[in-house]
Amino acid sequence: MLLSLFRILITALVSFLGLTILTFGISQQATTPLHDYQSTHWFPQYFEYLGYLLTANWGNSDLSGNDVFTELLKHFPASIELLSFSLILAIFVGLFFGIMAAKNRGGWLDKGLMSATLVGYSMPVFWWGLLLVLFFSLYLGISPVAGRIDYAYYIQPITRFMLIDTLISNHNYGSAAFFNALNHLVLPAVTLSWIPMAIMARMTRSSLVNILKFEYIRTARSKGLPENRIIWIHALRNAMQSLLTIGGLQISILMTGLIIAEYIFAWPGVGSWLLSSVSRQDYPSIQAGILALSSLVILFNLMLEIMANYLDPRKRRPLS
Amino acid sequence: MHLLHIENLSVNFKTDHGLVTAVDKFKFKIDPGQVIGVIGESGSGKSVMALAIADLLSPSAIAQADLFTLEGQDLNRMSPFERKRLITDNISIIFQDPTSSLNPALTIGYQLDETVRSHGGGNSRQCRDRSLELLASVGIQDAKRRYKEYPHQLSGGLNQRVMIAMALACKPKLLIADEPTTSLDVTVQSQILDLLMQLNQDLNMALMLITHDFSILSETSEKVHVMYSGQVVESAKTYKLLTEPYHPYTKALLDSVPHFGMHYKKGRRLYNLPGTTPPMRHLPVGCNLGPRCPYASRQCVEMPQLKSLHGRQVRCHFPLIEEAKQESK
Repeated sequence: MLLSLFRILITALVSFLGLTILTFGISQQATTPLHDYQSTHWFPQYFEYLGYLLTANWGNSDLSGNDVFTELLKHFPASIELLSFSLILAIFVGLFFGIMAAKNRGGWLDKGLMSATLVGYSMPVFWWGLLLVLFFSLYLGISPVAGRIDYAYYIQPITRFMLIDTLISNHNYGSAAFFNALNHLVLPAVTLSWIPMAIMARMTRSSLVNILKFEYIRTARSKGLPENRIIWIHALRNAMQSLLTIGGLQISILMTGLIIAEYIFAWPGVGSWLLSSVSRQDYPSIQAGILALSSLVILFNLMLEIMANYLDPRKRRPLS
Repeated sequence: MHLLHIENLSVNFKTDHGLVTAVDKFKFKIDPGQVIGVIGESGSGKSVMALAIADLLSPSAIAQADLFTLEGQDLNRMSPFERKRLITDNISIIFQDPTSSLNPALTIGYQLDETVRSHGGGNSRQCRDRSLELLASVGIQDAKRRYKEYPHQLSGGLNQRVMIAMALACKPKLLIADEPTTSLDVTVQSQILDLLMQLNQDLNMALMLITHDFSILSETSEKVHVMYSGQVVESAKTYKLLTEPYHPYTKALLDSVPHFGMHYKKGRRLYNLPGTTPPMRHLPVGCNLGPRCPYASRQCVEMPQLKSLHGRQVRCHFPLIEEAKQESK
């Protein structure tokens, strides 16, 4: 158990180092040097760069001259908020739809869900986002078009997570502010989670349908266990393996979607910040944005690996 | 009253080519404490028959029986839910490959516990005690350690013992063992068979032993049904069947087994029945064995019926009575 945990950590570390080599390359493109390096050769400079990264000294923006790390911290919570919401939506709704389809395999519910998810993931994020805005914001008028909260509210940024800030900061809007923020979150989160949710549902269905043919499922049936228990415990526990792998791939799809969704909904997160930095060729900011988003992907995959390791007893190797 | 009484059980599968018959008019009776064997090649429908009795067939299969009573209760008249309940309470089944029959992601203990619980085992502590008791009763020594382990940490023989323990959790009146020893070593095989026979005597549990190996049946079962392409071709008392087979197929099966002390001349080969089992979609006209049978004649284009003969049942126009007598002389 411990040994394989160690192995997973090493893999994550190696991919993080690979990432820093890339961002080091980007940082070299800045008009003014990012850091005062002691050495002249690029190789020792890279290690100095690593040192700067660890001490939160990520350089200054080419355009505004601000420290990019503080800039990043301003935008990061908004992205995390959106990402975690979409991720929860994608995983749980996708899992639920997949299970429903697998339970009724061949039936009308299965066919309906599977065609819906096919439509879901063949539609680009921006198109889907615009459709949602058209329908829910402009036609029905029940959802805001953009932003994190209405301008009528002023919320003191404490954690910069809007949902948390509306709850803990001192204001006299009552719970209205929280629900307003939540309402702002719904459309971008649905837009962003749509594709991963569809993939999740399809993968859940196909791996469950496959597993339900296995012999241990027949054994479980012969014991007279209820069908729900067979699916949720016996089949899903084994399907988790492949679902976690798929989940790891979803996060990178989410990241690309994040940039687009933030742009459409004027969400002040890392994605839109990164996009504007790209259009202004602000390399230090690009470097910081990439570093943040990619580290998030690595971190997420690390978590999934550990979960997979915990869930599959065959992967847990004893130390001896 | 028989424990289980089945008349004319037929199983058909819905396929793209129409209905395919996997089991044709299977008759079966078993009394408490009895051991009955079913023997046949792969594809003879013996496993499908077992699954049909245990109500585990896939939705594409249609099983019908003229009579299906368990402990005198007519299963044909029950709702599917009631039938499932009655069957899982009285019949347990163990399968060929024990390691893949156990869930790899759950501990042995967990899988035993949930079985005990689903048969009214009380609270978690009582379930655990009962599980440990069951593990001990199937001859697993360090039950406490095994309880926490996963199927991949156990050998095939141990896993089959766990399967048997799980089957015993519902105190079954009938245990169906579908090739219980096929994937095991010969030594482990005899241990598992000994265990099954011991449980059969101690608990007065009826045992239906499905196999393709005569050596297993010769020492265990009272009566044997020989199956060929979905039909019973001969059923008789085991020793009678082994000594004087009436059906050409039974004889061919017996002749293809090497005997201890058999005299082998150089170049002499063991008997082998030419051809293979016909696919269920393209059965020959008349007797299913017809094209392969060395005794076949013109009359065999008509399907023979199961006839009673000297206290046994044979499905053949020309049972080998004369030949059996001559050979025994």
